[in-house]
Amino acid sequence: MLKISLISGAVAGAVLSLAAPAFAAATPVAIRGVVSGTEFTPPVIANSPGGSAASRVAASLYQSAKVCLDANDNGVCDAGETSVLTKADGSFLLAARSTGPLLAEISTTSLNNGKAVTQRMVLRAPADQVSAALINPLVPARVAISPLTTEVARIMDDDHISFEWAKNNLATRLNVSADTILSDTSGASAEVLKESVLLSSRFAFAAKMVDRHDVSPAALAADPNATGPAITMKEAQLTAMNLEGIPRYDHVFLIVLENKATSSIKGSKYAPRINAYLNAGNQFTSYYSTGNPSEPNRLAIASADDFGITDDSAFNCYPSGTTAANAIEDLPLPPGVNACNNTTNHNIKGKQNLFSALTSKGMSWRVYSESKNPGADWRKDGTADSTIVAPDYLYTADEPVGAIGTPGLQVRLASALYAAKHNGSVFFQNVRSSPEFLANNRTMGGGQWDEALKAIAPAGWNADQFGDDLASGDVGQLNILEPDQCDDMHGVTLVGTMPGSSATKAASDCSGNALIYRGDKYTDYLIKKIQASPLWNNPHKRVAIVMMFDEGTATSGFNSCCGWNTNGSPLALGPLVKNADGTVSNEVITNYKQGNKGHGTSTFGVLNNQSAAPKGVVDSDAYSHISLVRTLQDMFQLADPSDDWSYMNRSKYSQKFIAANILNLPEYAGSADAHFDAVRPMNHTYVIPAGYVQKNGYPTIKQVGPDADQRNGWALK
Amino acid sequence: MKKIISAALLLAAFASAHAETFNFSYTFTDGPAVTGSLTGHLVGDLVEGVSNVHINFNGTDFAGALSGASWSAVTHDWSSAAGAVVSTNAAKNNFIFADANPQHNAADVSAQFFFVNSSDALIGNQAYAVNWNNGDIAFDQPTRNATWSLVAAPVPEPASAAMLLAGLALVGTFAHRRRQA
Repeated sequence: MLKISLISGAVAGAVLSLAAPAFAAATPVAIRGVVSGTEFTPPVIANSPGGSAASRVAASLYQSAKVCLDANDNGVCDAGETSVLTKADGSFLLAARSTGPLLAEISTTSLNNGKAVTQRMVLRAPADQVSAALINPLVPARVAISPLTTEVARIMDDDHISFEWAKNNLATRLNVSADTILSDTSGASAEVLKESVLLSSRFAFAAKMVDRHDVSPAALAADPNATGPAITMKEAQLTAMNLEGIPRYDHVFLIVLENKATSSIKGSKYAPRINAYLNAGNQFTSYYSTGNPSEPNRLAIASADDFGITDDSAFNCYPSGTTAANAIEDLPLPPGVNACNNTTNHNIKGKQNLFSALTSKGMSWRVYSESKNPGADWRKDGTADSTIVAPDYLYTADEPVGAIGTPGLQVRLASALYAAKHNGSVFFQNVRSSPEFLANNRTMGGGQWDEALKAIAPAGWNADQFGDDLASGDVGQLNILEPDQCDDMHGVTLVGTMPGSSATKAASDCSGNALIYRGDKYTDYLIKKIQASPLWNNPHKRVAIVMMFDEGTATSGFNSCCGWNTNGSPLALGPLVKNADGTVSNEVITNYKQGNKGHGTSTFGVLNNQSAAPKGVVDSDAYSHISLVRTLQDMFQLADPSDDWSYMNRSKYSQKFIAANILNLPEYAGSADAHFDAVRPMNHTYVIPAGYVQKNGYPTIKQVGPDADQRNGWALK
Repeated sequence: MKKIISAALLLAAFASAHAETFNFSYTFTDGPAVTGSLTGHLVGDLVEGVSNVHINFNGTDFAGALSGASWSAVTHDWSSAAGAVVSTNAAKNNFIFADANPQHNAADVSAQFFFVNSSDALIGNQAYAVNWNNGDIAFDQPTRNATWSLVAAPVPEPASAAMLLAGLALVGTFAHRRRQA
């Protein structure tokens, strides 16, 4: 109804309001608009393909959201601030004596496209947005309040820049007009809707931090043991983009290479390009693998555990007699592949992993693989084909490997150039069964046999989907780049023949030092390709490239850390799980022998496209694949830092978590170095004590004491 | 020539004599209504010479004399000079009536009603009424044209007019006799 009290600002169920007192000296303004966002229907993650379903996103409008003029700009609709509830169509009409920032408090009594809201969230519209919308004093200003306008306000706070800059920066990041940023989400592109989903998740988490009275980060910065004051909404919205010191990135590319210890790469004349990138970017100099051989490491990179796997048997292998529990559900199996027996289950079912976690939150992943047989099954290794040949790579005398290579040698496509054991998405039943499994496994070009593969490929086959995706921007948040087993430094038997001869001759560069040099060049090719892309050159997209190895080569000493306790007794106890009734127990996993893993350290470098980001950072704190997974969970807001249990698998094993659960973690009971054995994000927060001797230094002189500085290798500014 | 001028003057006098009062009303989506009246003469479906505007919004009269204007798609502002465009056809409405000049004294406006169907994308089709004195406010976009009504106010029947004239004559006669007495 029309008549509005001038005393009380908020009127339940009404859409009309005026500020008290009535019109006086200041010119009153009316503001109308909508509170809009997105309705995200999570995917159904299931082992059965039939039970799986993709996520859905739709533009949405919020009903019964409390909209107010946030006169004191504190991120809260305080008593006395003019407010109104949105109507069923998300609209509001608010009148006040002057303009200012707007808030929309979306509570659990609000409706999102008619659906119940489960987590409170506060959306904002900057005061300058309201002013800019006021076309005439007598015409109500039209203002949309959305996750995108909230992000504009947050960027203004974070970067201390104007509304115009913040608005344009976000528009540039999303490749849309500034008007799109300030509009409601109806008619928005899929990219904008996706961003709205991700922002909504961050801002909902911010509200959660406020509601549980987390301590203000400013107070914690001054005193890590501070117990107050409580975090404000504006602080929380900033913190939600920087969990555990790991900033939000839009896209990360992991170039995963194979089997080289730090000593084989660092300073090697055969890896000049990788070394140059390491020095130009940021390095993590105590980065540990988690197992041996590839598959347990690839599992750990994808999920922070290896589930007891200690070999490279394929996903279709599991213990005899466990068919009911471990049977393959994504039938039919590829031709020539049958279920096989193995003492350890390789068909990982019902376990958390980064792929499912990303899709569950509206994000995407890709695995790009090189030298894949056209049309072949991603679950199966590439097959040898003597009819698919390419010239041997030739090197000149001035290159570190010297003048090697055989002119005229036609090198055959070898088997397992594409290795399923290196593809983390293959290991998990619920990932293979997901609707996006096939779509998210894509080809990557730049390989020796690209032209030959194109010649025999079926119509429509794209030998370099990665190149197209870089150009279009259709990459995932997490992109794992898998060079073939020559370009990744693993090595396979690679032979060729000379014209007119059937005698085979080894190719020049898929073994020995030449293999490193070949991998170095391919890594350089990938990095240059990414750095030439529109994504990388969009200054407001936050993009990182990681150069890493799945494992080193050390077999003794401190060859693992951070989630594994190499000094503990190998116990056949599975990882800790919290049961429905709140009790804690060890999961039963056959052959699970934690404490006997690891394969030493490898180089780990990070490049990012942010000009203001610190460069030349050297972080020598100990990290592992498990640390990387925790880092990625923070980066993509997949877990809650205040609750270690929310982190997947062994990435929850922080020092605090281990201490709290030590009675159930006997392998840590005798830990000689609790920090070294525990998991942490790669945030360079820990200051290595003076006198502490690095456990696995390179090359032989171990670092003593702290790093030169504590800058964060992932920081954006 | 004199005859033509005389005829024109006669016609003008006739037209002036026939300026009508119109009643109008509009109902917002949320229920509140605007009612009112104005004086002018209808040319086609447009009211010309709009004056003497009275508005009641949600049961409360706007106080004081009301100024009219229309929205200019060129200047993107109210234009007092162009005046209010009021029509029996809601789609042609382009007016604002306010208790201060909407173009030059917007800061002094405390009660207003506008109904604009404009080609200017900045404003488009909007209806908005507000009375800052009592807190009444309502807004529509798009306008609800079907609820707009503008009709001539009822005039007395001929017989009623005759009786009125007779009554006046009678009053005049009595007054004349009193003065003679």
